[in-house]
Amino acid sequence: MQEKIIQRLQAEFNKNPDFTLKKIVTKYFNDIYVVYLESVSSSDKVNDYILKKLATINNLKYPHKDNIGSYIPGPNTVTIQNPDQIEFYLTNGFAVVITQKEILAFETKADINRSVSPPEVQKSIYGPKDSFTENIQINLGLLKRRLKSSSLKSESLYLGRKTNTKIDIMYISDIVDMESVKKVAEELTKIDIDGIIDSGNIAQILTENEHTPFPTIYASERPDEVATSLLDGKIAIMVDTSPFVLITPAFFGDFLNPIADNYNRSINVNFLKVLRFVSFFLTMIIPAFYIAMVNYNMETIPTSLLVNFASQRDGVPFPTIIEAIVMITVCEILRESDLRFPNNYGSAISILGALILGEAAVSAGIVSPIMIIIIAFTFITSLIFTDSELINAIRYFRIIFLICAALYGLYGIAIGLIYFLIHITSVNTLAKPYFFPLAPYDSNYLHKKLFRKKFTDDTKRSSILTKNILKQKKEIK
Amino acid sequence: MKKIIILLVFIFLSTGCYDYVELNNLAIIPGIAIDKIDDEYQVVFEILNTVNKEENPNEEKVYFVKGQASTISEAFLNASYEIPKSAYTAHVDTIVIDEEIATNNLKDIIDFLIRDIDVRNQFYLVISPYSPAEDIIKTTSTTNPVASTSIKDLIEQVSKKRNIVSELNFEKFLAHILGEHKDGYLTTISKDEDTLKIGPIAIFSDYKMQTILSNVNAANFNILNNSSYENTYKIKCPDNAEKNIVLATSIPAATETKIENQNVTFNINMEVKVVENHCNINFRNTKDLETIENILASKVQEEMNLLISELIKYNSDILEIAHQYYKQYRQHIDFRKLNYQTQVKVLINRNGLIFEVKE
Repeated sequence: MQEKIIQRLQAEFNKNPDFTLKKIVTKYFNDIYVVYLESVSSSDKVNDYILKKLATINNLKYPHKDNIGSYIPGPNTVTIQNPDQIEFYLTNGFAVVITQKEILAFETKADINRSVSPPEVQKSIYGPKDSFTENIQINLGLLKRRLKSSSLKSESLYLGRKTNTKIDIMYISDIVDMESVKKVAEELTKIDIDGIIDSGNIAQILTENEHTPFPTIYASERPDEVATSLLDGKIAIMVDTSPFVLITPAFFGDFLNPIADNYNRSINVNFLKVLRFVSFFLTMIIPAFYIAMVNYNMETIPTSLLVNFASQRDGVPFPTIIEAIVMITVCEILRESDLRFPNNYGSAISILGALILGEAAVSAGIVSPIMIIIIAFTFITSLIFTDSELINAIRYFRIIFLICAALYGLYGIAIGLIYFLIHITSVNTLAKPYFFPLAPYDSNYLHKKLFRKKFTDDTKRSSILTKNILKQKKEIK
Repeated sequence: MKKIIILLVFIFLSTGCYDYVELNNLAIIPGIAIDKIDDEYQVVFEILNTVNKEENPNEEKVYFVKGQASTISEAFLNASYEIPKSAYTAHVDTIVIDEEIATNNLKDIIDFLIRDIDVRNQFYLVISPYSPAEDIIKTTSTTNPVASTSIKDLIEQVSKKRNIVSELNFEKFLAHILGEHKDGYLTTISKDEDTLKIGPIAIFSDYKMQTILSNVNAANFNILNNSSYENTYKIKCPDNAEKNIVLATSIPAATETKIENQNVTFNINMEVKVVENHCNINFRNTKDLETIENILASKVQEEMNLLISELIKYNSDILEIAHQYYKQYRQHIDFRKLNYQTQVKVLINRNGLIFEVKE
């Protein structure tokens, strides 16, 4: 059997230069084969924990134990019953020891992780500065540093036929609604796919039935945010090899405000929350509003401003709607290129963009100066939001409003707003309404996300997430 | 899917795009002048020049086009044919009409303007009694390059200082002239070389202009109408007729109109302050001050009576007496048949009067 297994492994891992097979001849256990992948296992650990120990067995006069595992130290040892599982353990950094009688896997993972670093996307001035990495164990550790309770539970599963990616469903058992956990587990178990590379794949699979551009699952790289969400009764999905942890259910208000708001005084923060909420609508509607006012409802503009707009548009050959679409497209291209272009090239892209979008376009008579201001303001208000899915959704609705305004003016914007409201109130996230806590209204969640109460007054969780709504037994003074 | 269908139904059941217009294809008209010349209407549009000012700094801010025809709508059309762009009248600030139109043809103008959906009713309708309306609308200078805007600013500013004008826009004027038992009034305007001057109000009986009130009558009308801000009075000193004391209202005068049977009483309360003093008055003596108050009260009373006589003479119920009578008694009445009384109470503001200028 041992020979057959070895031959099988050699065939399976043929043309894998990191596949290492070492045969050790011992007096008492006959031939022992040690198999590992050099790319994911640490050669030092294999040498120290396994090879050296196996070599010492030969020096013993009488082996006092049958079980080879007793001789080899290692905190994580697995007895493999089914040879089909050997591939899984090899690819997960285990060194597999194959004897005549048994197959043992010893954890010897190589340290190919990056260190815990500050968050790159969800930055904040106040609050913790650590973020998740690609290693699920490290991520679990970062979470357990904050939630030191045995009620923090984790249900593990492996997804992806080729990737066998480990997925952990995290929740706090005495807070969360277990029906939601079951639902998430069911949805994940249904997944039959070649490979899961990032948590984004899981997010897409879980939300593909919701026909909406809005993100209905939140991806966070901050352990403090995930911990706060778990304490609220939400569910976190950790994916190995992904530095983003998914949080579900995720409501509309969750995407507008960063977690760092929780670390500042509510009086100061509420102004910013209102500003973000207003910015959300402004960034969608401003170009459409300008087109409606200038092409259909000119009576809404004071005469002097109207004359200024008209004189600025003097000589521009394109209709206002074309100007707007061209400028928005150019800005989107600039935003994309800014994301993709290597930092080493410095600020060349920004300068180029400013030149194209600014003086040159106006001087050439392609666009009017007022359109530059409108588009600049649109993009400035959109820079408040860091979630790329939300930015994509905003873009989608911006185009809709633009078309409605170009066809019908302010009436078209009103129709667009009706469509927006109908759409957003009919989206669900984990079978819960997405526009919560605005519709249906819930004051607890509203005061958590959209308009904060004082920290000491925040004593209850939302009833939509959990039945255990009481957070604090005593009032904090 | 249903939501999208509902939305599409909304969109396609209503029309769109038909009123789409590019901003630089609009001829923005802030002012219109209408004259009656030889039984024909002459309409002059004052149009804002929207060329790029940076590239063309010497371009005039406005230009004018003219149209003439026997009816007002044709005259408007003929004028619009002169413009290479689409005439845009939603931003009209001022319409100037001449005396002939104000006296004989106002009804036609009002009828046309009400029916025109493009012209909003927020503009000021003014009368140019001493010169053609065209001259008024063409009065531009470096400080006032757009005549219609300067007329509008003049009305709004002057009405706060000199109460001879009416801050009535066309919409409010319509409420007067179309309302039962009411008559309208409009501001007049004249020009002195390159300067525009706001004049006192012109009063109407039905649709015909009757007369232009004097400055004093116009100011007193505003007091009776509770739309007075500042008024100044010069009265002779009680002990020396050659010297004067000048008083000004420190707060707007308040008038209460009471109608009892056939009697109408105007109770006017005025608080004034001493602005200039050339009289020999002891400001610490209450009796002296009361004397001045009584003199002023009598003067105002006399002026009010003259105003009322003038309104009766021209059958112009701009004070809406018949309307108020109808509201109270549900009876139609000719306001000229009522008896009018004015009671004036004047109080000189005592604060600060202890200062005396030594001779």
